[in-house]
Amino acid sequence: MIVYSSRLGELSVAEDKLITFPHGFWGLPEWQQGVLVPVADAPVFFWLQFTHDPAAAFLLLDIAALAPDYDCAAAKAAAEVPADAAVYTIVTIPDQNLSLATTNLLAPVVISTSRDLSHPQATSDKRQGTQAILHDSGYPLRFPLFEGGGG
Amino acid sequence: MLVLARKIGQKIRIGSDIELVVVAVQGDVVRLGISAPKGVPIHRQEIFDAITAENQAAADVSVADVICALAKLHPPSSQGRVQARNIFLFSPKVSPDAVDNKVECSARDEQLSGKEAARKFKED
Repeated sequence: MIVYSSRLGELSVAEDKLITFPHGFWGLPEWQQGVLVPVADAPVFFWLQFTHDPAAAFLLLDIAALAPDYDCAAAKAAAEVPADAAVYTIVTIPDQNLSLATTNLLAPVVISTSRDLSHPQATSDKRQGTQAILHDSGYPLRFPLFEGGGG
Repeated sequence: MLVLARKIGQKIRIGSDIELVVVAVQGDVVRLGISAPKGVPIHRQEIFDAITAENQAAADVSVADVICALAKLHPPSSQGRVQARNIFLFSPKVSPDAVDNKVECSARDEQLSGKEAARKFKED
């Protein structure tokens, strides 16, 4: 299918690349289907472009690649997904100022590679995702990406 | 709002499958136990509010020059992953100058970056 993105233009996306977020995101309940697009030349960043609105997208960070100590296992456990799921954190850029960018370590986005989140036995090949909340982890909601940045 | 008085150990049932029990009361702190089906998210209100607000703030990353700025922070000529690690707090720190976001980036560059991303994705 063709996915329109206000940031990336027209994307031709194979059906099996689509990721379903059954509950959407907190505060953004209609953000339920998206696709991961690597950011050119910045291998740790991805756009999570949603299909319902060209302007709907998150900037995600491949947190495992950047911070090997981050507790991805806890995120997968909270999301109740298989161990081969991928964990990303959402990047916020306040006032369009990249040096103030923060990432949300408290509520990471967990994306399964194939299985249905709510039904681990399901044979569906559809990729599913969810936003996990790491209660009592001590991880901050706004972790500054850059020294002297926001938080 | 329905207000009910309960003693320690007493329960409240919400619908057919959600159960609330007063576990303990110590001063002004009430400990509650909650049993609910797996699909029902249960969170402290202030955490829910904070994450909701943060999601909405993150949704506002509509900056066209993010890709361009990121690209300049991660030169394609070097090993991107190593380069990325160097600019983040997680590992070796760098001076703020190195992450100055005032990267010069023309509108044409932005478009190219976007198209490039799309092209790479299609190849993938």
